[in-house]
Amino acid sequence: MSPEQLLGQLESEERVIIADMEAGIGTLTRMRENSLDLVLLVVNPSEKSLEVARRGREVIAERKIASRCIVIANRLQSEDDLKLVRAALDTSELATIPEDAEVGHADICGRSPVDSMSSSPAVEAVMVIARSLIVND
Amino acid sequence: MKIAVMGKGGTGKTVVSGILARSLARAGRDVIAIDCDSNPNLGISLGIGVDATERLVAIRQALDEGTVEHAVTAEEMLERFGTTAPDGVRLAVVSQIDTPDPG
Repeated sequence: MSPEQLLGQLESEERVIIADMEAGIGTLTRMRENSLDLVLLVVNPSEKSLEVARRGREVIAERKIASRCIVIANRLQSEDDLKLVRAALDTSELATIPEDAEVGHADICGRSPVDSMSSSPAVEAVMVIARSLIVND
Repeated sequence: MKIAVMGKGGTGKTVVSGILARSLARAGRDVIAIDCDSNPNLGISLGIGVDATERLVAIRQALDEGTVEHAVTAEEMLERFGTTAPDGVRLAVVSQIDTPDPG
């Protein structure tokens, strides 16, 4: 069963399905029109990740895979980082997540940053993204 | 709502997916998380722990090798081969290899 067949079978009014895709854009090049409602394009302030997102966005548009894309600028450490992302991916649909040592630490320990003892700015940023998705749904 | 999280490897895609799934569940949504990555670590980011994540990967491998019979529907697959993470997020690990059409 392909990921899009799976998503198609599982979807319903009440559900939110989140698919963590294979790295890169390979899967996108095989997906069909309207197979998704939303694509989150995760980038870091690095040319290579921005290039992948750019190509991904093109494939999504060409194949009409999803009506909405949001760029998730992850691991930002400065205003310059944000400027780099904005310059590469001109879009109003952009959310930011700051660099946060707790995230890497949790991963190494085999747990979710959501379950960390201390508050995490990265987790908080993702929770803001989640709330905005629900409001718009 | 069907959301796909994509990006270059190493950008934090899986961690973002995991935190987002837990956040949406805490906000009251019925969330299903699907790990399509050939390096399946979504379970860790969801908070099920290393052992449970490895068990899911082992199930996935058994399915791919044909030692365990495939589920007929996605719902059945989720029920039989998935697991439930904190905040009620359901997780399944799926193969990147499309099942070839018979004949």
